[in-house]
Amino acid sequence: MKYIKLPKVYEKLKKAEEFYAPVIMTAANGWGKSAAAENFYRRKNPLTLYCKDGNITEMPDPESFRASTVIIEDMQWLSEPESIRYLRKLLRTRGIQVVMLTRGGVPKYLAGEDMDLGFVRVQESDFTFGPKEVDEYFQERGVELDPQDIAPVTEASGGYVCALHCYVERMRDGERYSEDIRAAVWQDIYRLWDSFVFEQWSDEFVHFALSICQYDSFNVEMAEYLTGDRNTGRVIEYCYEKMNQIKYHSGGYYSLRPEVKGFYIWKQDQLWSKEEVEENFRRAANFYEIKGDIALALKYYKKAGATQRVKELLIMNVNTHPGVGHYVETKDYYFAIPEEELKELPVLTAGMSMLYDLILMPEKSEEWYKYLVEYYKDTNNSKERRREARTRLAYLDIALPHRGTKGILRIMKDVFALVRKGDIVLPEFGATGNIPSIMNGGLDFSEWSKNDTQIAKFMGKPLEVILGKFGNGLVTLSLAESGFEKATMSAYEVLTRCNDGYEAAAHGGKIEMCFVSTGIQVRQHLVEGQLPSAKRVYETFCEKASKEEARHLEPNIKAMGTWIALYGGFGSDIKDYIEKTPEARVSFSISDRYRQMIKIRCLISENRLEEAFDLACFMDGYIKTYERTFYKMENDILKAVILFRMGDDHWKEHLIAGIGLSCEYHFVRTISLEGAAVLPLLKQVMNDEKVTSAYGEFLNTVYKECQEIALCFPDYLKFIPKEVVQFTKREAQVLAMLCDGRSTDEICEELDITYDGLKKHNRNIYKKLGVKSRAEAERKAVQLGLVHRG
Amino acid sequence: MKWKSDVRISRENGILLELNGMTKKVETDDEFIAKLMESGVSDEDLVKKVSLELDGDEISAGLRLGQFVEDYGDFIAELQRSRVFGE
Repeated sequence: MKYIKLPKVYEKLKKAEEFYAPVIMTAANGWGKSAAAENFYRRKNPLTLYCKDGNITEMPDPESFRASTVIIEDMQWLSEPESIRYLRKLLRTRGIQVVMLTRGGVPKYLAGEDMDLGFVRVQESDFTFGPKEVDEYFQERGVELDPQDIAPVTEASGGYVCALHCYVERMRDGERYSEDIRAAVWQDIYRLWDSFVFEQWSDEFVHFALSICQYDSFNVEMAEYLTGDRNTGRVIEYCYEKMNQIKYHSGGYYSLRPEVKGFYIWKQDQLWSKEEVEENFRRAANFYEIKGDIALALKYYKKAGATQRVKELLIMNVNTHPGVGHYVETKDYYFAIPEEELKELPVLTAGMSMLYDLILMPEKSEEWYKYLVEYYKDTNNSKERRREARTRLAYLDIALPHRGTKGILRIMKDVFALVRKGDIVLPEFGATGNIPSIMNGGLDFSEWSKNDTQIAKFMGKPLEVILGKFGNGLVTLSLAESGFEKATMSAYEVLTRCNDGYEAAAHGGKIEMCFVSTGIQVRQHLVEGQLPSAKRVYETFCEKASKEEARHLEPNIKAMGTWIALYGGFGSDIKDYIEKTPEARVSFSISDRYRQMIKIRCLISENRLEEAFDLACFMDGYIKTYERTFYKMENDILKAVILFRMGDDHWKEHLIAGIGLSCEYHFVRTISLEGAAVLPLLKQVMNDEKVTSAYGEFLNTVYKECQEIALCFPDYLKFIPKEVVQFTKREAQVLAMLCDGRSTDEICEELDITYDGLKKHNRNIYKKLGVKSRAEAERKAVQLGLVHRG
Repeated sequence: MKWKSDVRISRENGILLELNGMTKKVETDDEFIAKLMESGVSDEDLVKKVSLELDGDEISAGLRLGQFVEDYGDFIAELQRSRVFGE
């Protein structure tokens, strides 16, 4: 059969030949290294030497060579010093070109030669068959491949010639490509590898591979834990360097290549008993549990059939604050436990109540709360269990999100009385919900801002006692944020208080409070027009969070970074953020709220206005049910911006609603920080006497600040269109004035053009926009972001 | 802690607060605080001291007073920040 030449391989070998440069082909078994070398060098009658058990099996004197090309096969097995010396001597012998074939990478012992002689590397990607080669491969083997199957076979095989061999056999009788064929081919590949290469691997390596094959990634510590072998690090290094079976990721993590992972899972199924597999899962679960990864721990305990351990882990999880409690990630495990079993344990009953509240089902939350009340009242239950129930009820009374903050201090007082009597011991509380805000964090404390200083005076000590470490810096930061939102505190005072709060939280407190401080500082800097300062504060916190492995904060840290980027008008990460943030209508928990509010802004900046409005309407449901005043203000303002850009007159009612509510609390910044996005809207309502007389001084303050912020960040939420419609300067001027609602006479006068001249420009504008009327032109121009209304 | 200057207090059937058309009845449990304020005790620390005698500990006293401020905040004059930070 004709050898199918691969252009990239051929090109590299030709180049190497020209300069007599050594060649190293690095690819796993079955990619066609040997065939490529054999085919290219056949006319040179090369000498082929083989490696086995650490040595080159034959080492003839280079002086005695007739051939000028030497091929070294299976170089990944080379480890003995004498053979290595021989190879190095060969590489430096003049008149001899060495071609090395290996499943690993360039070995360390050849680093010097690589640098001096310049190895030409032929890699796996160079051996990959494209559609043309795939078709040729099939034809050479007498199999007609349907043209429609070329692309899927190429993709499914990954261009891997060993896989293509199997596809040819499976489709020899005219079978079309299908998922069944794909699955069958993988089984064929596994059998091939099993017969050709599996026996070559050491027991140590096989044990390692079978122990880690079920997991998406692993580090040395995890691999050692699973294998029970302290030398596993050495095995990983060997595998990474010599076998091309694992990939390295940042942070010390590795993963098996997907095709190889499948092979070892298949092999594990053959070689290990059910008990051995479950024991492996149990070890992995235990490892993840030690590392605090509750979601993965639960997953693998479940696979290990350790149902009791699953329940115990859920119980342990409930004792953690919902912010770090992984309730939503563990919901499937909760729902898998029969309800009657859940009701037997107060801690899991409370977990269900909290879980339902987090996934926007407050009625079910209250239902489970009632079960807990009944459990507490039932004197047939043991004293300890009833005490546990009372503890859980106290916690839910304070922490259930949908109940808001009304009367919460009274509740806390009653709960504290129980704590003081020794009737209950409260689990850890938090106040932030992992959000960079305390006033709008776990709960909405906007009401408190009306008398912030007064409340702080009385509440400082109680909060520090009740919230424990979360109390460090809390009062200082609450006042700073309240003063910031109302613009009643100077920038200096806000930043000083934030710094104090940050320090208090950083030393003996919680990183979540440092995040709050960062959030307030960033917002303050943005109000001042200081984007570099905002970014610096943000990046410093990112570093801290990374160092302290605060993974639970990652999604909201990323959201904040995206929001900051919007001020700079940076477009590159925005689309990525939109795609990666889950669809709220598919899956939403209240811990997603901050990310989703940022997503609305991103959608606006991408001119995906219908989607933005849809998400804002979805968020309305949460905002209303959970009494989130801050978010109500924000959402109304954003809806106003969206509708304004859509040319829908209902924008005004949303804007006025947002202004009205913000005015009630004197929250200037919930509006002004929307800067350039909301300014055109504000400009219009400033001409409305009814609005200005209702909100006079407040509106003036907001408008003035908004103008300043818009000046600093003119591209905030601005849509930069991809398809640019090219207008002349005059046409652009006319279009802007049309969209501004100017009459024909006004336009002619201001631009000093005749009526006929204006008609001509209008015609050109309509043609370029593909519209037929002024109204359509306005709508299209706004849609494309060519003009912003106002 | 003081009432706003134009708050009117009437005492028919308990204590009733009135301000700019807004009215609110002071709950029985809160009347002692309202009476303290009426009698001219405005210093927060003094109010806390009295509350402490009733509640027995600083935490409960603070929580009671915090709730009072939340409930009747619309009628209470704003406190200067220096009173919190001691500047």
